[in-house]
Amino acid sequence: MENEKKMITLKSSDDVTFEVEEAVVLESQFLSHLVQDCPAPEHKIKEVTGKILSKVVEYCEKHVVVVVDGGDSSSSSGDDLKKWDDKFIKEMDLSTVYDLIAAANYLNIQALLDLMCQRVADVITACKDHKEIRETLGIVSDYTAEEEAEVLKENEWAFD
Amino acid sequence: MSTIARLFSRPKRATKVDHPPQKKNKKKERNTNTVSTMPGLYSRPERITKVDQPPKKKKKEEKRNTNTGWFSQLPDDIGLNCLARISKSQYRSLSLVSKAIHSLISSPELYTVRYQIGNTEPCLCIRQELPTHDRWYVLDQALSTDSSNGNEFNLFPITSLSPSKSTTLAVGSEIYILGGNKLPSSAVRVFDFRTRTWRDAPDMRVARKRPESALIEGKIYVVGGGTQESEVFDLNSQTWKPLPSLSDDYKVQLCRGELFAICNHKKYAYDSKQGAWKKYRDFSFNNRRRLRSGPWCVVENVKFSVVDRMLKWYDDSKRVKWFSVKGLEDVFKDHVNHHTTIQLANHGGGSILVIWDELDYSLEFPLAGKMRNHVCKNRRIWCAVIKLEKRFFGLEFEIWGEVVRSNALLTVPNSFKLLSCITI
Repeated sequence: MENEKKMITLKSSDDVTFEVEEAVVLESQFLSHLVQDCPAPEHKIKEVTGKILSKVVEYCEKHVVVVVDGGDSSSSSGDDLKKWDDKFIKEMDLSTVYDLIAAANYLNIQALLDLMCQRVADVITACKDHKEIRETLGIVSDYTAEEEAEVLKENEWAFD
Repeated sequence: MSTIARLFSRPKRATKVDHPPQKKNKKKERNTNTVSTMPGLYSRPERITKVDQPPKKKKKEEKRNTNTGWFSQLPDDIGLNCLARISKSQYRSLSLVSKAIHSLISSPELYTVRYQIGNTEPCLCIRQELPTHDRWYVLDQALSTDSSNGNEFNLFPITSLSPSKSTTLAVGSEIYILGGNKLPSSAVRVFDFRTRTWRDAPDMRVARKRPESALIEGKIYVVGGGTQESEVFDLNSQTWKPLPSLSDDYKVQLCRGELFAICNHKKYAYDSKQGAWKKYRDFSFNNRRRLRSGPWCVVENVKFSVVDRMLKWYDDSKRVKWFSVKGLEDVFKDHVNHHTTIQLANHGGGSILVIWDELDYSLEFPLAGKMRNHVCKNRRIWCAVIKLEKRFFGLEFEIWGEVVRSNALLTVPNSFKLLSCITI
């Protein structure tokens, strides 16, 4: 069936090219619109760098294969996919996570976006208090000392 | 084009293909797949915002400094997507991080997203029966904690102002306590699990003693409790109204989310959408008595209940109304079957939460320096999250369940009774 597969070339902002099957491109809602509206063999994605696009392509290629192989073995392949996802995000640093969130949002790949949000959630869950969360996410507090004390007081009841 | 857009908006991980694979023809495979999932009960929810147009607003990353504050620069829907995946127990420290995160944590949308992705946590309302009075508690615990279950010291007392043994009803993130116990009362007290505070709702029109109640299509229906009059509370307008009367002598029954009445040997069912009684012809009407009380909840427009100690779903278009959820026979036979109380709740993300308790009988404990083999009844409260999935066979379908997690939540003395469960 090889010759039936339609190939499409994606070009990143820094001119790195990726040749992928059309099915892989269709994982992205944004690209599937693009491919149908203008059937050029090559598409430039100005908003995404080569480093991030390679991750996106890697993710979409993995996920498209599983759908085609679906059917009766769906549960086991679902488990494999979960393992693959875990490995995919395990070593990833937060700045890559951020870039992938931006890319997944731009290209409209909901499953990838969800996976990256889960990664952020896991990182936050591992923090022991609000100071560590600030440090990890690089957030500078915009509370004054009084405001912070007030939020602390207001929350005493609500969550414990 | 839009078909394909819809098709591919589904996350592939959640996809379970309900028919043999057709490797040779991908296009066809995808189309059949659409047919099976389009009625689309258990596919993951789409993003709330913009589905069909490519997002254009995200240009912020160009401005950001490499490691500072990128989380605060995320669009709100993505920030909520992250926060909704975190246990509620961390929301307190999160709201101390920054004003922006505090405002996301306080927004009701956060709880909507928790339902959409199926990351809700159960909150239980528990009553301890003492000879002189009753005490009320809530258990608000993350599901993700390790397997060790809590005891009565994990419970949060909410004893103040709550009447004893009246009717409880789970409504969103709140528990409504309706009517009186020993004496009829028209009072309605509401406990909000998010803020852990009490408030008063408008009084019922009629004083009642331990009435029956149900939340149907966003309205609270209350029947019985020492009076023939039934009434309905509209949550939007916050007003009570009487149900239309049939005649001088009729009796209303609540049956797993439906209202029935018998009047002059004729049977009526209440149409909650039109607000009127309608004549009802159903051969299985006499079974209504058997089906009268029991836990039920709606997950993605399908009603589920525990009937004959099995988890079943409801299809009004069939002669037999209740169908077993497949794949759970062993779980229910070996485990859930021994319950004394059972509760169901929508866990979100196409899953149902089952909470039940069982009694532990033998327990040794030291008394006056000796080990006594004392028979002490303990109540252990369990929970299971069951992922539901529609499997199609042509036009017909079955609903299958898979236990995603199951563990004991709490062990308490027998005097503690499980009343209600909500998920937030």
